[in-house]
Amino acid sequence: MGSAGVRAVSLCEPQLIEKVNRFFIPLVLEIDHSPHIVASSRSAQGQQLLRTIDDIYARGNSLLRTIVVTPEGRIADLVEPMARPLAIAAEVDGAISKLHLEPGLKLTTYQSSARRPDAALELRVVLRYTDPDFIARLTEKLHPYCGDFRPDTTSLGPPTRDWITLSADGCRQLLPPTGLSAGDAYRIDDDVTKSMLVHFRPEPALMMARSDERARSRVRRAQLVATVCAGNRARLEGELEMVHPGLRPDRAPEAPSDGNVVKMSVAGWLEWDPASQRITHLSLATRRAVYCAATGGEVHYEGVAYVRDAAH
Amino acid sequence: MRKVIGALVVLNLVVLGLVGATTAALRQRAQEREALACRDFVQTRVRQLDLKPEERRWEEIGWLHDVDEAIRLSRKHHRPLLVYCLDGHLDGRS
Repeated sequence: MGSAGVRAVSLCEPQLIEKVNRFFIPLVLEIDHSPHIVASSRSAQGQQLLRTIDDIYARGNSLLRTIVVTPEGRIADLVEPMARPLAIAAEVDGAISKLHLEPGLKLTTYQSSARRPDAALELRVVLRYTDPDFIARLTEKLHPYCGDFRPDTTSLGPPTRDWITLSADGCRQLLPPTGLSAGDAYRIDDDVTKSMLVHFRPEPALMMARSDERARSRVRRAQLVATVCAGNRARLEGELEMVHPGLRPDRAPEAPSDGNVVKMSVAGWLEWDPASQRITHLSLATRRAVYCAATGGEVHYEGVAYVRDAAH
Repeated sequence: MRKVIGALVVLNLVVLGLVGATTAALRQRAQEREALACRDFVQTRVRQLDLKPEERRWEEIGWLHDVDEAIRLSRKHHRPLLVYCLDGHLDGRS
């Protein structure tokens, strides 16, 4: 869920990062709706902690919490940043004071969780809104939920992050059929196209994202056409039309769509190694992306997807 | 007379061949220009929209993923755990 990346913006304050790295042992539990997190520990104390967290989740429906646990295993504090976005900093300060903590050695940087085992290629997706009015309206409407969200920043709020994961078979589907030469065009398999373009959806209300939001999106039309260029390269042009219930916090997700439609055109660039038939470069960028145009609540946004290792 | 007609036919064929080759070359160049324009557009947009360093600061936190390892370090260094629970993944993976 890309919104998890959006939520991470509340962890981008340098002072907060310094305190977390010097006073705490930060542990991230990427729960993924799994009811079996207890099994991920082999120790009695670990299982006890996870059981407690499991119970907390069973009682409430919030998907995002921070919990301070003393070295003896006692829960010292618990907040729901989804309800109080600035609470993490307050919680950290409160725990430092309450537990009389002394700063220690600074921890090293985060190591990203491993890519999916079936992923042959991963593309980082970054989306940004380009409509300041929309951001202002959204901020006003959702103020209780996104108090640390500043619409006056140059990037118009935090970007949405997501990942496109392609299997080996999906990668093969992107390559041209044998016998094509420069100037020839071919249509990418529709399922592969859908699986990629569906990630170019505007996020629902920032911190109120639902993990099944992508599943609730219904693709009406998705196509991606590749034109072979000299030198084992191809340019891509595509379109997406998709009913997308997110981003309308005033609307029940189950309500029938009344124009919450994503319409997007996209360009892309593909390079591959002919000997190994492996993709060496793949990137996509929106040419135009609009949401809710039919309802007057039109939202413009822009986005890219690229193979991270190739771009850095 | 026959020789002249023959020469004209050859000349016509040569001219037609040259026109055809030139047309093909022009078409190829146009396709290449179109391709490079597409590549440049995409690469520029990736550079413009990519995450900025200040948007990736949270990666400077030394997050652990392993509960048991975190508890071990918590005890060893007598530091409390700051457990951050979320649905999905911090880096945005679904």
